[in-house]
Amino acid sequence: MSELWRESAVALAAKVRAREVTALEVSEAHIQRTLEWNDRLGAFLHFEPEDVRRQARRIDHLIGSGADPGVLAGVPVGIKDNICTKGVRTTCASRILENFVPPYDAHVIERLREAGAVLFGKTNLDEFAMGSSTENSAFRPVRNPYDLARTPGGSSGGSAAAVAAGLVPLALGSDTGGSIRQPAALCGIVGAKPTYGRVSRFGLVAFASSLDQIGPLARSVEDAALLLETIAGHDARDATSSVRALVPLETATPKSLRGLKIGIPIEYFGKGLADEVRAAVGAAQSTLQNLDASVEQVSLPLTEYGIPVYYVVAPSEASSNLARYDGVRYGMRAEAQELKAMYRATRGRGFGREVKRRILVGTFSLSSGYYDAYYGRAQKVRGAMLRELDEVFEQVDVLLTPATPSVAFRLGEKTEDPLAMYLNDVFTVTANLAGIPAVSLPCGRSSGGLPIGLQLMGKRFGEEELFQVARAYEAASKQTHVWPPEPEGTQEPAA
Amino acid sequence: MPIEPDEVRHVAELSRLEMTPEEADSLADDLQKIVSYIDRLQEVELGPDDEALTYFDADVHREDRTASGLERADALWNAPDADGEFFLVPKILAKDEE
Amino acid sequence: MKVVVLIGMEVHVQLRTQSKMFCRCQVRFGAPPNSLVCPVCLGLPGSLPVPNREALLKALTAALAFGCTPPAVTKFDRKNYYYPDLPKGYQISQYDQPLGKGGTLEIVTQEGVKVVRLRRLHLEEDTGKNLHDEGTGRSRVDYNRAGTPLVEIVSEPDLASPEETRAYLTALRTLVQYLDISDGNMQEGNLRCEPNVNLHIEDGGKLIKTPIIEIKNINSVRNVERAVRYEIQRQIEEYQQKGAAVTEVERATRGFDADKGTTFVMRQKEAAHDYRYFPEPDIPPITISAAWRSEAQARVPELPPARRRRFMQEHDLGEYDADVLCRDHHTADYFEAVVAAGSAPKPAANWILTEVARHANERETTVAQLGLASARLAALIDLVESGRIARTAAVKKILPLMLDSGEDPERLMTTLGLARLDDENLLRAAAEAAVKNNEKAAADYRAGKQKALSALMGFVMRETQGKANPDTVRSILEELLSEE
Repeated sequence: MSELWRESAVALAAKVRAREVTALEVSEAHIQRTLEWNDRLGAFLHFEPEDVRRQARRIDHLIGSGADPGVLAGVPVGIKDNICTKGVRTTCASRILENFVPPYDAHVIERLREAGAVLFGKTNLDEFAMGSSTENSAFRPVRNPYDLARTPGGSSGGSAAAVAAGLVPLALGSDTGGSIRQPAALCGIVGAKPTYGRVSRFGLVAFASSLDQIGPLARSVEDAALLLETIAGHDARDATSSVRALVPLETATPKSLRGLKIGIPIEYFGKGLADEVRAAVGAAQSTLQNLDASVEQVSLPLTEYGIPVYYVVAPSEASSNLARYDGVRYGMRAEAQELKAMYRATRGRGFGREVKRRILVGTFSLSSGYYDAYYGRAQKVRGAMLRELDEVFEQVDVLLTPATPSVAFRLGEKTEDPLAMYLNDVFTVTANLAGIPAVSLPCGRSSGGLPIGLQLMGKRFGEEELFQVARAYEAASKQTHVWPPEPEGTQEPAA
Repeated sequence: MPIEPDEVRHVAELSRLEMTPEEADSLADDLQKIVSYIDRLQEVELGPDDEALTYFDADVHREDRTASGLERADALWNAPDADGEFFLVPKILAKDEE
Repeated sequence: MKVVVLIGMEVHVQLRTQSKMFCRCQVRFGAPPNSLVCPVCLGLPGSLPVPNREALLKALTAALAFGCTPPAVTKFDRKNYYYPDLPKGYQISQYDQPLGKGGTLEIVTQEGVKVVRLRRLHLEEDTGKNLHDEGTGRSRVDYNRAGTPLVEIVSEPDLASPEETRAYLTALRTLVQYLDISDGNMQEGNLRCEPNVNLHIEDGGKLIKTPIIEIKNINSVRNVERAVRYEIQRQIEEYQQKGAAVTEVERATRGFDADKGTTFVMRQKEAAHDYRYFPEPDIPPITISAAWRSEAQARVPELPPARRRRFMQEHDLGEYDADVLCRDHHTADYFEAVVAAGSAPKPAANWILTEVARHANERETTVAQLGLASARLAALIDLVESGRIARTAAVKKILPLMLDSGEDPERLMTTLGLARLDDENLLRAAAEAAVKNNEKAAADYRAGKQKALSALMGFVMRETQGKANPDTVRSILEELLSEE
């Protein structure tokens, strides 16, 4: 079997463009890899090999005709199943959208098609991206390729597992409170949440509109940068999309970070942080210091309110965003004699438990008599957090934190306790609340061989600097993606 | 803040969510736990300037120009019930109106 | 028992734009169902709203014209509720930072001018339409209208009668037409109104406030007056039946039945609506820049109250006539054109509001669209005013022919031989015949009965088929009768 699935996206695109390999060969290698792994992982919800081959042949045909096939020529990309794909089911891993076929492409999908990417399949997620373990998928949970008894994280767990196991070199995720960075960390890959407004949300099924951003998952910083560059940029169909252009991220890896000031927010290193994670992030700090970056401790006292703010703002927006699933224009309908009963039955049966929980919390937070104490107050605290962060960014350029409090937990471990599950996002929600860019990348492994991730947060629209630091760290630390063990019965290939 | 069962029913009703009694009880417990947790927001001391900030950097309006939308068949394609021209819904009782 | 009527109005005005409020679908009345829709106005997952600048500008123009105070920054909010015609489960509207707060609207009734205070003016998106199928009990939904830009204008409860309510709606419609922001057509639903009616009844030293009733389904200016009149009477009767217990009756929405002229209960209000308004996160707040303000201000023409006052001053018209002329800016323009063509203003106003308006009504059109050139009408008025033709002849014979043929009135007058007879000899002969044939009348006149002259005048007019100039005839008769 072809080993092309081991290649990076940058390498694959270069080979396809140089006609060293065909797009079809690239796709075929990934199709075989996926056929082998997907049942075990549950990473893809929809994956049609014939459709993948058709797209690959089209790229090859384009190359044959002498046209420029684009920067992602022939590169298979996994698409989180809350991103609309014209003519291809988009379910959000929910019963209520089980048969929904969008009549249009999301902005990011248009960009990928223009860049010559192969839309490989739709990846599994927590229902409507609500969750941190991908166990809230209505169809099946996703498993961590490094330990099938554990979660890959969530909500972009399907995308993270698929990239980590080599089913695709790249995938799109969405990040509302950490949904790209947390699974990237738990699967030992790179995941980036761009600045709010950097990537158009047009076609991303909304969870929490003021927090959602689409971003890349990849096995290297360079690949993540390539995908982010492809999807970023202004879109007139999203009023929150920024007109600022993204500076190209494909610059050479800096040898030194002299002059760079890195802040270590003390609140991210309190009790509750696993020792192995603390040690790995400490080592990362030393690596960066060795690159001549200066490191200083900073304080963000409002950090502890990040989760409470998040769990008011996100459910409030979600309760409204999910009101459209009413069984009238699309999606599931539970039949009933009269309208209101139809609404209640459709929504009661169509949504899973976590989604209902959040709709209830959000509706409560916005309801008459509670708005000021909950939604109103949460937005004010959010404003205060933003100001606090802006002040810190006057002293330092980048913040370094752990991406998650611990390594991947066991499936079922936190499903009965929503608050324990919510605390997985404790280090990641701040970037969403403040709209700043953040990257998580591998920084070591636990004694049990499970990936550990660190997080770098940058200034608003500061992706360029952020990616430079990430690349410098990646190169200096040699902490890169490690292939998961092969399934039993197959020989583990040499790394 | 303790949440009364009536409050949970009211919120479920506003959300148009049907629940079995067992589900309602357990979701009421969850809601209580979550609300107790988010109640921590009440302890934050806020300054007069602490407002929800908007950090948008965007062009927010468009020219008044038309573009063609969906063909009707495509618009109705995903509908659970349609007659080729309209979306169809069950009988609307007077009390359904808000 | 003393009854004070309080009526507040909520009026929705569809703005005339090419595309919808938040998407680029065309705005058009009467298109096949669900043919003007896209992912945004159908509320498909992943779609996002982008506001239409022209709609914002038109709404701002209206806010300035009403004298509202626009905020420095405006924003949109979501109003959450469930109904099949509402595609997203929320309506994008404006809650606490509307495009206009305060403001006034001047209305004119037979009693005079009244200034009605406005509460607010905001921009929102229209819903689709539910069509209830009586047979199956099911409803059909059409989303063509969903997302059409609407301005909602809410008044204070300053209106005190059905007549004032009607005058308010008329004045508001006039204003939006002057501003050219809406067709203001009630039949097509461009303009929709919901009066809120209640009474403050003072009886035996007690003040009783009846519950506020909102009336829907009103589709014409005439019907708003009928509906409110009925509703006031119904509330009085309800009070007479129930006494003070009337205050315990729930607030409700009632529909107007135009056939019966009555209102009926549509629904009882729920305990309280809980729309869970919150700022629309998909649309950043919008700064109303000075440039925007001046662009909108430049679109505000001379408004009906100012024009009315100018007509009263410059042309010496009465308030009521001036108001009626100004209710339709095309009519007001036409009036000014007729005056500019040389007609005296008072007869011009009189002709337009009576004779020309009658023809317009008969042909179900407006004065301005009747096709009567303003110079031609001015010429006709001049023929009458200078006494060259009898008014009756001008009204009954010339005007209809002018409308049919577009002919010059003087030529028509000549062709038809309708010009007044002013020939001294001919009229003297007729007058002499009159005196000869009406000896009694002549004698009476001579004896001092002034009124007797009319019989003699009538004789001459009959003899000349009404064409004689009455002034000339009169002086000849007076001369003849004083001679002897």
